[in-house]
Parts: sequence; structure tokens; C-alpha cells
Amino acid sequence: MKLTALRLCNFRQFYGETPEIQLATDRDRNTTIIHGNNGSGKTTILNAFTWVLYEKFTAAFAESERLVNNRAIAEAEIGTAIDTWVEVAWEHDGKRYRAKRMCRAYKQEAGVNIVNNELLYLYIGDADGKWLHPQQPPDEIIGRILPASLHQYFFFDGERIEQIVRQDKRLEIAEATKILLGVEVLNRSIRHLGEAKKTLETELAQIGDTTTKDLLRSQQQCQQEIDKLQARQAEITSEIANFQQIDREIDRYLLELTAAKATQLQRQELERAKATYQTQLSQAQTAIKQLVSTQAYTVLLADLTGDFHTIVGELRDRGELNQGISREFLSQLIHQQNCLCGTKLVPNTPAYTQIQVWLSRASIAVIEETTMRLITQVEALETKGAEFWQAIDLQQQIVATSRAEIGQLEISIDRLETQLRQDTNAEISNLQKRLDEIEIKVRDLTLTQGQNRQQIVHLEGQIQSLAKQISKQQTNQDRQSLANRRIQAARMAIEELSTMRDRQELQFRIELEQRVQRIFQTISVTPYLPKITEKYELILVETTRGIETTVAASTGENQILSLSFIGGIIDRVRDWSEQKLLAVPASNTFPIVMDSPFGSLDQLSRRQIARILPQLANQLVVLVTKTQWRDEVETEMQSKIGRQYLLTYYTSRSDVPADYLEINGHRYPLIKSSPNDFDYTEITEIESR
Amino acid sequence: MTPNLTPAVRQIIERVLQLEKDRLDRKKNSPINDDILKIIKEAIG
Repeated sequence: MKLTALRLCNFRQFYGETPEIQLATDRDRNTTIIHGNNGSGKTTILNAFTWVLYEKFTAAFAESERLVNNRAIAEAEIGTAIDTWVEVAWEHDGKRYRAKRMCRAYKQEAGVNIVNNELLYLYIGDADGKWLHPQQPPDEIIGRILPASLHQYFFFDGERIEQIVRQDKRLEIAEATKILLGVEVLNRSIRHLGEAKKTLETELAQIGDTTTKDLLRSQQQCQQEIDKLQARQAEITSEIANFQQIDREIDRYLLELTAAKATQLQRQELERAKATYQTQLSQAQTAIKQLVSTQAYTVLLADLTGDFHTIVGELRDRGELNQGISREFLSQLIHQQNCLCGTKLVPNTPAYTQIQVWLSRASIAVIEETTMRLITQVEALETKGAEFWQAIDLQQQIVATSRAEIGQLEISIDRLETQLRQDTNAEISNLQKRLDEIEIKVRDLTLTQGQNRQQIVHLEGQIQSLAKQISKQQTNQDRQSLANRRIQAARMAIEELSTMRDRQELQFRIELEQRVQRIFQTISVTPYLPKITEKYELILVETTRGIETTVAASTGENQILSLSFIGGIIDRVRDWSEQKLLAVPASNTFPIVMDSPFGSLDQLSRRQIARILPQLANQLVVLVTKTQWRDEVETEMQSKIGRQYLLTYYTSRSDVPADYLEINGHRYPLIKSSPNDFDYTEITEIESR
Repeated sequence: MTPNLTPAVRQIIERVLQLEKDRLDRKKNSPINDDILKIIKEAIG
């Protein structure tokens, strides 16, 4: 941040608009001196800066009611507005900024009313010359350039600078130091990343367990089961085939046994008949199914056909279905003006009127045709319905007959088998018993086959549902993997940031401490040593016989300590940002605006500070009284002065003491007599030689 | 930064730092957790 200009209007002692105060910005000649006596407005100028940028005042500055210049108030008419404003211009990061804070007051009978104290206008200009009104709030933009919490280290009242290092302010300095060292940013980053990581971990827990392996295993098991069952099915089929083979052989053998021959022949015949009836039965059942699926609908049409007949009946009753005579025909007759029988059809004659009546009743040819066709079709359907029932009855008859026959045949066959079983010939009865066994076995095997089939279907269903679950798991797994990677990345980021923070804390704190120490020891002749504790507290210690004790420093020593601290901060922050080591607000250069800085210091200290500060700061604006601008200070700062200004105080007092500032052989008046009843200050530039 | 960081982690670090820098001086801060989650999810996903 490099301040470029300042302008005031009706701000405290300054009546009307001041000329624009240009500040020195050159790298070598970076110091601006503003000379003025006590009360002439030095503190006002310091507060002008802090008022615009942060709406803050230093402790020494009075309440805001007295912001508005007295003469402006006096000269204003009752009821009119008085505008008070301050404009600050600066450069930062290649952009130009202009901020203006305005305060409007209205003059009333009783006094002055301040309204609209909040107005802050900010414009940002780029290298292209355009000035733009930014989207973000001005105080945020300013805060990013130089945070409000740090401003008192760079805009300060020199006579109270030692307040910075007061006991009760140590925490403030610690916070400020952490921000300036970038430690605060790192701490917050680490903390917030940690919270985000926890959120991610919670999300992960909610995604669910990875059980894909289990599901796959279950799937495999089902498949194995199915394979086993299918193998068994195949076995059963061949077993059945075997048994049937044996069955046939036994049958044949029985035939060969003369004693059993007759019975066996009979039985075989009966079996054949039974088989025929069984085929018949199954065919009839198939036929029934077929009939129902293709023609059953015909018996459900009764209602529809009924409605149809009603409609047709109504049409007939209304005479709209006159068969044979269509409208077209009658229209043609009228057009011909001749009836078929030869009668002339002349309008208003009885014959013509008759034809017209028919015409109104005649149907349109198309409707009549369609209706005729429909009637035919509906009659056909109605017949179909009856035919359907007939066919069904026939088939059901066959079913019943077949069943009955089969029943009978089974009784007969059973009787023959019993005969064979109980035959006195052991061989025969054994063979029959064997046949009985086979029958039972085959029946059991067939049943088992049926069960297996059901089981296989069931298992296949399970495999399907497992497959669905697995693919769902896959999605979950992907989400889990993603969540895990994010958590991992967050963890690594936290680790890295912690390393950076620890390094920065240690290294930067030590480096800062060393710099502050060196500056302090250049300025002060005391044996004290500044220290920055691990808690970032700035203290002054002395080492007596190897033991460190905190010093109860004097005002002057604290002033030096404060200035050393500020100088050290500026120097180090600039250095670190150049090395790109820093996580700070981007401002790597800070200006220093100080009001009456040399008051309580002794000559030596003053000399040292005057020499060091312009070197440390990128830009310096010093507001001094004549007393403070004594030889040693002037000498040390001379080579760095870029601009100088003079605050001339116009007093309404009658006895005006003479007071001059002598610069480069010229005399400049610090006090003058006011031409009116008012006290005010004018600022003029002191031209360099 | 340590050299063996993946580009994604680097991105997260840089963006979080920038976010915190920008928020440093704000008086009222919106909850930051959502912003950080967004940074992480944009870097990896």
C-alpha cells in the first residue's frame, strides 16, 4: 500500500477544500514531512487517514460532533446542509484507489445535526485509466489491503506509541503479530480444514459398509447349488430312463414265461389302451384351452349385440333406415324434375312435396350400407357364440369319457398285477414285485425332479437380486472411494499447512525477534533486549547473571520498543513476501503515518529513529512540530524527504505571537492572524530548492 | 511447500489460504465449512 494523496473539506480546522496533499512515493525519497504547531491540525491529518479507511479515531482526537469545521457551520444558512469529507488516494498491487468518506450536517436553530455519517465511496482504477465502482463492500476491500485490526501500527500517535507495548495490550499485539506473520491465516486454515474433514468423514460413514465380497460369495454359492442341482437332474433323468429300461425288460421276460404269458399279454393291451386314452385326454384339454383363448369372447358380446339391435331398431322406427331409397336417389329425382313414374316434379306441387318428405326421412346411402353390413356381421357373431359352446361341450365330453375309461382300465390293470404278484410261481411274483418297486422309484424320482426344478428357479431369482445388490454396492464403493480420497487430501493439506505453520512460527518469530532486537539496540543505549515470546507477546528483558527478567521499561524505552517492533514488522514482511514465503494479506509494503513521534525521546534516540525509520518503511509521513524537528532529526531525514508541507494556523486572537519555520534559508509562518472571527488552518506546500 | 504433494492437494492449500486471507478482516463471517468443502470437492472429484 502506497499512499499517494489526501484532501480534506470542512474537516475540523480545515475550512473549505484543501489543495490536494501529494505524498512522497519515490523509493529513495519516500518521506513526507508536514510541519505544524500544536493544535494546527497534525493529529487531524492523522485521523483523516484513519477516518476514511477505518472510520476510527486515535485516542487523542475529539468526538465526531466536532468533525465539521466551525466556520462552515457559522456561514451556513439555517436548514442548509454542510458537507464534510476526506479523500484518500493510494496505490496497491498495480491498481489505484480513491476512497472518500462523507459526513453531511444540517444546521438547525438549536445546533447542528449530523446525518449520513456512513457514506464511504471507493473507486478502483486500473492501468487502462478507467475508474470503477467495486462490487464488494469498500471496507472489505480495504481490510484485505491493510486489515483494520492492524492499522494502529501504521497510523499512530507518536506521543502515545508506547501504548502498543503496554502490559494489557500484549494480547492485541500477539494477535496482530500472528496475523502479520501469516500464522493466523495458517491456524485458521488448519482448523477449518479439520472441520471440513470431519464433515467428510461423517458423510463417509453414512454411505455404508463394503460387503461386495460377501455378496459375490453368496452369488457363487447359489450358482454352485444350481450346478449341483442341474447335475442331479441329469442323473435323475438317466436313472428314470434306466428304470424304464428295466421295466421294459421285465415286461418282455414275463411274456416269455409261459405261465404268465396270458396275463402279461392282457396287461400290455390294457396299458396300451390306457395310453391312448391319456393322449386323448391331454389333446382334449389342449383343445379346450385353445378354444377359450381364441373364441371365448363371442359369448361375452351379448350385451353389446343387444345394444346394437336397440340402436338399429330406433333408427328403423324413426324411419332413417328406409331400405332402398337413399337421399342421393331422391335428390337426383328432384334435380331431374321427373319422378320415376313420369310425374313432373314442380316445386309446391303435391308430388314434389311428397318427394321432399321422403327426402327428409331418407337415409344417407353410406350409413345405410354400413348398418346393413354390421347387421350381417353381428348375426354371424351371434351364431359363433352358439358354435363356441357346442365345441366346448364336445371337448368336455371327450375329457369326461377319457377319464372314465382311464379309471376303469387302471382298475383292471391293477387286478392283473395283483394276480401276478400273488402268483404261486415265485419267479413271476418276484418279477411283479420288482415292477412295483420300479414304479414307486420312478414316481419318487419324478417328484424330486419337480422339486429340483423349483429350487433352481428360486436360486436363479436369488442370483438376480444379489446381482442388483452388487451393482448398488459398486456405486457405494465408488462414492466411498471418492470420499476417502477427499479425506486423504484434506489430511495431507492439513499436514502440510501444519508444517508451514510450525516452520513459519518458529522461523518468522525468531527472525522478527532478531530484527526487532537489532533495531532496538541501534537506537537504544540500554542493555535491554526485546523478545517475542511463544505466545507472541512483545516484552523487554534484561539478563542479569544469566537470568532473564522482564524490564519495567520507561516511556521512552517503550516508545523505542514500539517503533522497533513496527520497523521490524515492516522490514520482515517485505522480505518474506519477496521470497514468497508468506501467507499474509497481500500488502507487502506498509506506509507509516506518524504524528509527533519524537517527543519524549532523548537526542541520541531521536537521531537513531530518524535515521532508521525512513529506511525501514516503504513510505513515511511524519507530522512534526518545530521542537520535534530539531537538528538531528532534520539532518538524518533530509536525504529521504520527497515532499514538505506547512500547516499555518490562523488565530482569531488579537495578540498573535510570531512563529516561523526556517527551511532552506526561507522563513515560513506557522501562525498568522485570522481575517475573521474564526480559527482555521491552511496547508501549503513547501517548495524544494 | 514440500515437493511431493499432488497437484490436487496443492490446489486445496492455495485456495484455502486465499480464502482465509480474504476473510481475515471481516467482522461478520459466513460459515466457512461449505466453502472449504467446495474447495476440496472441486480439487478431487
